[in-house]
Amino acid sequence: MMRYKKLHNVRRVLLNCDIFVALRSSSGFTVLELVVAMGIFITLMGIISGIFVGSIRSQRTLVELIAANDTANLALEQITREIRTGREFCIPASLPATLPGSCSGTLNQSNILAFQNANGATVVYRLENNVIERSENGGAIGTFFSLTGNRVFVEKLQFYIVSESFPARGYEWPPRITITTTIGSPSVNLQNMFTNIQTTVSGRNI
Amino acid sequence: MHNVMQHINKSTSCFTQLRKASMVRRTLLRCDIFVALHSSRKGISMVEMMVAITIIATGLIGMLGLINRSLGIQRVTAEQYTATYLAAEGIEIMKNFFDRSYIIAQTDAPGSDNFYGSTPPTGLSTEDFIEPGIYELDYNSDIFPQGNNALSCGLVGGEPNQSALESLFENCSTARFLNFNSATGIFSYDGSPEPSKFRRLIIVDEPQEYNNVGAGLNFRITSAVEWSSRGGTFIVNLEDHFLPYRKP
Repeated sequence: MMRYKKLHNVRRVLLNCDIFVALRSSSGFTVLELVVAMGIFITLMGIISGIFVGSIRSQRTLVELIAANDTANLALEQITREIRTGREFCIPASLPATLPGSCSGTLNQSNILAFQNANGATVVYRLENNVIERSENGGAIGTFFSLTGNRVFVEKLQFYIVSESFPARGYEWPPRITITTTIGSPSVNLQNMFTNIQTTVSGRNI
Repeated sequence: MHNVMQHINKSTSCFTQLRKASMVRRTLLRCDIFVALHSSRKGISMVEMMVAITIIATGLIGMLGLINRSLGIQRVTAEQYTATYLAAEGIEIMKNFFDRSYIIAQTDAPGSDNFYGSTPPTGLSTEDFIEPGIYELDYNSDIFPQGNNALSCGLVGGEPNQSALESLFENCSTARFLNFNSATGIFSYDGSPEPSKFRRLIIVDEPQEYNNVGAGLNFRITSAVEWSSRGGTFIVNLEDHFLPYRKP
């Protein structure tokens, strides 16, 4: 009798607790639903993280490209300003150049340009190992300093003293120098992106 | 034992009872866990979390897509560099012609008022003198094309501002594209292999209101470069004024 009563009580307690009721009517997800949901979720997250990684990469590429363009821009700006107030432009036959005199009589285009700047110094600009360099001492050995750093890759730099090839028709031509350059970046992401720039400067000293 | 059972009978809660009956105790422990897990639904379920992250991530796609697009826009920026330098080249070529005009005028009549302009000294050809008009010149132009309009496009009426230039480029079908020679890197009108995407027009006019310095002494040069790229048509527009600053 006592044993029966005991069991009876236990059962009541269990019912009070709602344990078994809850267990039997559990309204969860089936494994299939969960797998499908997880599948969609993971696929979506995969796509998004791919885009995210791509964005970070292109952002880095962008910074490198801007750095390259800005550096080259600054160098070109300095060259054109100095040419504008310069005189005695020539493509030197050899370095160091002394002006006037040591110009190559035949060439009117090269990646080296020599002239006298407004202070009377013999300035030489040249492209060496994909870096634009400047010398104030006629291009003597050891006097070159680089204008562009290692963030820009100057593929080409050409100076043309265009006015030298013009027919005079009785009158002198003011100096006209055309500069063309092709700028890239040393970054692996930008190997085939080059910017071609051309500009012309007319010497003011006529 | 009997006392214990009585105690259970009186009880309503399942937490505070049946300390001594081991079977019941086991049940109660289960009960405890289950109640906590199942009936307190105040947290965030995994599914809710996944839905939320999915919505946020979908929104992020749009933003990240913009960053990716900026690489394409950077191409336009690079072209803008090229176009700006080409437009500056247009101004410099004109400066070169004006300086030559000065040299000619002052060689023939030193100290004269004929600084530069459209009235050549007697007996000289007009090829080195400058008249208002719309011109196409490149880095190695050595003859100034004469005539009010070397392009047979209508003259710009009024200020050569951005909208006037836009309609000029649109209507001037004879405006040529600069050719780009990839071997030398030169933009010119020479018959080199590839036409580039750039067109350049140089507009010379004489606005009267500037300083009242008189005809032939006050030139306004507008050098405009136009090109089409992703995102539409762009125009770089530079202006310069040539005055008799060197007047003898």
